Amino acid sequence: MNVRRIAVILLLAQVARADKTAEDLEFASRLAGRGLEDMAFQILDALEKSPDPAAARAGRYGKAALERGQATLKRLRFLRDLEEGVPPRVTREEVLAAYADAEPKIREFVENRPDNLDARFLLAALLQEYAEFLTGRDYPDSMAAQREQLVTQGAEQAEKLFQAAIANYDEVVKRMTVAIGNKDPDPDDPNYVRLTQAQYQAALAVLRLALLYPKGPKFNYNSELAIEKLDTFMGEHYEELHGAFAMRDLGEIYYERAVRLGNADDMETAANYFKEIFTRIPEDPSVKDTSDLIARALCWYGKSCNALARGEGEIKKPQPAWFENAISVAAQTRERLKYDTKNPWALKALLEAAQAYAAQNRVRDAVAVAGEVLASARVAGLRQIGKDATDLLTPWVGRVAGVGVLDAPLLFEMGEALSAQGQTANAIAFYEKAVASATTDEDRVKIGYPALVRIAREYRRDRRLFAAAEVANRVVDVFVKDPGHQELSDFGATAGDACNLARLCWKDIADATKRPQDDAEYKRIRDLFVKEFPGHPENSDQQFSIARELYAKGEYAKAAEQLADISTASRNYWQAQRMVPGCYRQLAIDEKDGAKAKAWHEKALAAAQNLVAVATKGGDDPQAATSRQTGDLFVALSLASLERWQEALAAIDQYLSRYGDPLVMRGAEYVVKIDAHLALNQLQEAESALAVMLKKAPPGPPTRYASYQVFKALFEAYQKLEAGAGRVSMAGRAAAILETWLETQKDVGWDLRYRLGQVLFDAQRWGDAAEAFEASATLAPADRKQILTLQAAEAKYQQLETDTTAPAPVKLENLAKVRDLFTDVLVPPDPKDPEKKEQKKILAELANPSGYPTRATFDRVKKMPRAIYVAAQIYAKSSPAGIDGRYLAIRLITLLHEFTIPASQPGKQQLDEFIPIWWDAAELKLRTYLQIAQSGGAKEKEQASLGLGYARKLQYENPKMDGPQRVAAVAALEAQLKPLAPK
Amino acid sequence: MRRLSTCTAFALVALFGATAGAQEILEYAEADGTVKLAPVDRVNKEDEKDFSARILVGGRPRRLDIPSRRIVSFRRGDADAPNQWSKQLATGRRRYSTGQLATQGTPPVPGAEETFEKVAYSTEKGLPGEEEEYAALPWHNEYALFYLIETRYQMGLQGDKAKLVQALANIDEFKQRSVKKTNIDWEIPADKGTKKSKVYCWGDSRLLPFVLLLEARVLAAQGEKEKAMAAFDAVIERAKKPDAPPTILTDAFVAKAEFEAVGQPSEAQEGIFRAAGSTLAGLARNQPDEYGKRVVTRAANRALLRGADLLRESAEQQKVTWDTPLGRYQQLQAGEGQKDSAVRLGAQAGIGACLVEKGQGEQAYKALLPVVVGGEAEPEQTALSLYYIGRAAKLFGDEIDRQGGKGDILRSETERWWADLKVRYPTSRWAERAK
Repeated sequence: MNVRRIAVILLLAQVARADKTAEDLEFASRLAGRGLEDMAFQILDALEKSPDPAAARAGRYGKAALERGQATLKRLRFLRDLEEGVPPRVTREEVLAAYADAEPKIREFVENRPDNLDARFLLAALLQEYAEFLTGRDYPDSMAAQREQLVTQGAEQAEKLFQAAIANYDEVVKRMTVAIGNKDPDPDDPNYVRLTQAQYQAALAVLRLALLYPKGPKFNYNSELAIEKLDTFMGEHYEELHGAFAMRDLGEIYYERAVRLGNADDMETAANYFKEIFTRIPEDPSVKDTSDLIARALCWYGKSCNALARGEGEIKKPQPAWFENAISVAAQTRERLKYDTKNPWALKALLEAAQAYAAQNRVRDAVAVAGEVLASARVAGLRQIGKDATDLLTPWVGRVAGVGVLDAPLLFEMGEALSAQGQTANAIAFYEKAVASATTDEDRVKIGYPALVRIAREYRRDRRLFAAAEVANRVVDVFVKDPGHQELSDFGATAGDACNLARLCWKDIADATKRPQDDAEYKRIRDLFVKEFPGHPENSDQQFSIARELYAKGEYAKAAEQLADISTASRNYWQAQRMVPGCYRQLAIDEKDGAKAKAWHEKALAAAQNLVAVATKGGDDPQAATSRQTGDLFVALSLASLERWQEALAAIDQYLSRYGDPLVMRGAEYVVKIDAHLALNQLQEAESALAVMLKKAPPGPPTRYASYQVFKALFEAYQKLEAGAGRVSMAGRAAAILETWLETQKDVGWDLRYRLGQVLFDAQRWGDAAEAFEASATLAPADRKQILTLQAAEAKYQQLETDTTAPAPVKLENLAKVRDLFTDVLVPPDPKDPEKKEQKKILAELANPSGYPTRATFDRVKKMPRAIYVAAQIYAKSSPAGIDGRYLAIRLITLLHEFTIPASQPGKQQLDEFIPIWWDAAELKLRTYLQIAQSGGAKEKEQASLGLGYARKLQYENPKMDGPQRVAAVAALEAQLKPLAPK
Repeated sequence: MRRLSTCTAFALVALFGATAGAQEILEYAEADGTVKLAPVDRVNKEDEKDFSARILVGGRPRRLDIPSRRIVSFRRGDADAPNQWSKQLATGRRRYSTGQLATQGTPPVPGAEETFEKVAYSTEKGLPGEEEEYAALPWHNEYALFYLIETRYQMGLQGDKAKLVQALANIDEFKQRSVKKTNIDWEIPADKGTKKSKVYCWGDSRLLPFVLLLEARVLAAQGEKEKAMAAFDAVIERAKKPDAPPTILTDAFVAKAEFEAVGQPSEAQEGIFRAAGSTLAGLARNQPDEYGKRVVTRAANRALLRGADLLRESAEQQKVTWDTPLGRYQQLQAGEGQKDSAVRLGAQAGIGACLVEKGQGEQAYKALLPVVVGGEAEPEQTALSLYYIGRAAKLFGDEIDRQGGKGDILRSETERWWADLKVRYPTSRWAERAK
């Protein structure tokens, strides 16, 4: 119902013709019609305030009419929501308040303008509506109990409202009758129309007033009055539709009189009126009112006949013969209305016939008719009628037995209706009856098996999972065991649903009971579902989920097989295809046997190439585009894994140029490129690629892996270089990568910190190196701590050596600290000797230029080649108190040379790493001799002789030394010593 | 059925349903045993051996000639027929089916007995041109008398012993009127006592075996043991003939067994039914057609199942252990139950019930489940299974707990199974026990 349209009509009808200011009024009407009541009010308000009395009157009237229209609108909304069973958007109180607001305004208007009959009619209509709403007159049948309650509660107020309405209608009738005078009735005369409306409404208001009362004088009087008025009206308008409406109302009041007063004759009169309507009134399909009128009359006729037959209410005496008349309603409904399956009154009429059949114990007939109503009501969405039909049918069907008595579709429909009403047990019972009644193959496929699926659903909804699975399984069994059924197209879908239901039930059971046997059953049915119903909408999900489960368990070969099988129609198709190369790649990674791993990589490459090919054909599908990208990447990855580096590099370069931004694989794309560059000895390109990767990719395993690979390559490369700027630079780059890499690592161990110290040392970042060594020493095991401490010390020493900014005293002081550190390592002091007397004694003995330390003294010094060499360097520059460090340096080098060798010797390869130290130490020794000789008197000059001898010894024993540079250095030192040596 | 031609296809189906209840519907078996249902347009011949009629198949008339023994059910009387006596028969049947047997109240509302009695003796011819509407035919008398016997037997069972005597008299009358004569003189009921009048005879009646069985039942209801047994035996002997309806044979056997079993201990009762079942099974093999074999085999199996059920009742009364009925049900399931779904379901339900009583939850639950979800055709078994599965669910849940799982979902089912039982079988004795 278009309620807004009604409001507009009301407004136009009552307002637009009220005054000459029609233009404004019409505009306001249009606004109200579009829901712009506020703006309409403003216009009417302006009119009301107009100095022109006519306009002001029109404005006032318009406002009142609009208020009435709004109240009507609210009432209709409220009733519609009740009918549809949805929460009302407008409350009952709001509707009543709207009427209560509008009433005094219109009443005041009427009192001030007693001659305005439109306003009076409007007031009467408002009062009538108000009274009817107050007593719940239009509430749906499903709320009969509330309706009765409202009548009781509101009768007193409603009575006053009805009486006021009747008085106003009568006044309109009186004045209109005078206005028309003795003229012949003219349907086009507005006065005649108004008179007719008022007459009919007055009679109707009396009828409604009468219905407020139970049996008694008030009911008697008012019902008689209503009959008189309606009868008069009907007589005057017998040939018109109005007359038929009055006839219907007469029937209704006679019906009520019969029920309340017990007069069977009244009921017969009612029945006759109704019968006359549906037998006499010609149906005009273009006028909905006609169909409704006929359908309603049929329904009331059936009701009257049943009431007579049953002896309803005060009639008491049953006259079963009337049931036959009620039964005839079914045929009449079909004949007169061509069985309008959407007309609620027609369906209600059929239900009356069904009740008569049942009362006559013709239950099968009753079931057939009510079943027909049920099916129609379900199609038309008439829930209340559907429920009424179901309520009637449920006990009847139980009384009917025998093969084929009821047809399967009806039983199925009843199951559906009961299921929708939440009556699980009854729904199951009816579905079961439908199953039993479906005796042919066709019926079984159309009704029987779908009914079984419905039963399974009901049980599942009720959490009786074993039962649900059992029922669903019955359908699946037929499918599996009877190949003939599989060919029936409808059955496949039903069986698929059943299998899916069984699967879901067993999943829930297994999850709930946690029993392995239930889980096994779940898996069995799931596998069956996957195998037998590949086209089912939920199947590919299943297959996909199984594949993912297999993947998660590490069963990549099976997963790949499942994934590859997923149908192209599945929504998971592309995702599944994208996972296939990954499965083979994982298999390759897990395979320890190189040849087999290679085979898996080959398979991964083939799968990736296939993915690219399939995705290329996928057109604009975004999933296909994503798949193409994944395929391209896996091609590059697989080529790299197969060490086909040139192809891998080309593939990845092409990939990066096409999809490089953003990186979907968190930088794994660059790993391939870097690996390929490194494999192809393109260190610089690898470094560049790493730099790009670190900028673009978020930190993660790929960036860490690539960084480490590049660092490792740089480290290995600079290690091979001669000392010099190139080496330092490369070490610096390696150090930078390693530092960044370590920042992303958690719990970095002592060994990695040591490696960092080492690289930093090589990069001549002495301070950082010292820090790294110290950090490493802190974490290292006890046996490593000493050497790491020494390395830190050496780095610090180097820092001091290269520091050109620190003042000399500071440098000396720091050097002394480093020196003491070395001393404590090489000649560890006794903890019980805090003053380190013994240490000093040993150092003094070693540093005694005139003596030669005993073997025991030498043995007290730790044989640590590098440490000894560095210590010698320091002692050459910094002397402990009371000792000439230069002599100490020479003695330490002598000691060093005792357990190291200057050149490779068979069986002593473990000492090869110390050969450079040996020679560095030898050169330092010569320099120290030279230093001493250059610094002092005769005694020191003797050191020049010793140095000269030592240089010649070196030249004699190892003429090539450890390289030409050394030979030159030694020769230069020899040349310097020679003039200083005493002749 | 003339109305059918004017209706739409949907309405036709509905209308068929609407008139079906009031029409003469024939349920008959094809030679292969398939049971069919059809509205009858006209009966041509109906004697003890042969039946011929015009039936409607898909709305079209078709001639049907079958042996009378293959009529599964044919109740005559048509509420929509033009003939008033046919209408009266339908009215009487309706009254019978609602239990309105005797005439009651003031003013009196006629019962089935009065209605049938009126038809049984009517020989009205109808005025010329109105014969179709008003003429009573011999078959009207025949069926009315048969229904009258049934009605009086029912009234006798309800306590009015005099009706049993009247029923026996009517049976005798039925036999006498089943002769090949047009009419005979008979004392018919009148307003005051009886009056002599000519009444129709109908020759061989296909209803006679049913009447004889009713005679045995009436005698049994009167407690005339020897006479009843002799009557049952006579019916059985007669029903063993190849042209007799197999349902008579089976009904007679079962009725006899029920009569014999009255007052016996449960185990003896079981023996009686087992013997009846075995004998019937033997007779089934001698049946001349598939229909007969099916009917008799089914009855044999039912008798065996009834025996097992009696053992279960003995166990309930603690006269035997639960293993006794359990073993018998298992035998039935493995034997007759393989071919007969009714026995299978019954045995399955019995096994489930025994296992519940023995405290074996999971096994019981799984035995009962197929009956609960597939036993619609066997209401008694389904009701029993609904009761027991409620109990089994609780036991099964506890067993799952003991196995280390969680049995809550099963325990919570009990109430729902029992709620189903009360909704679907509210008058069942099992519904009363479900608390």
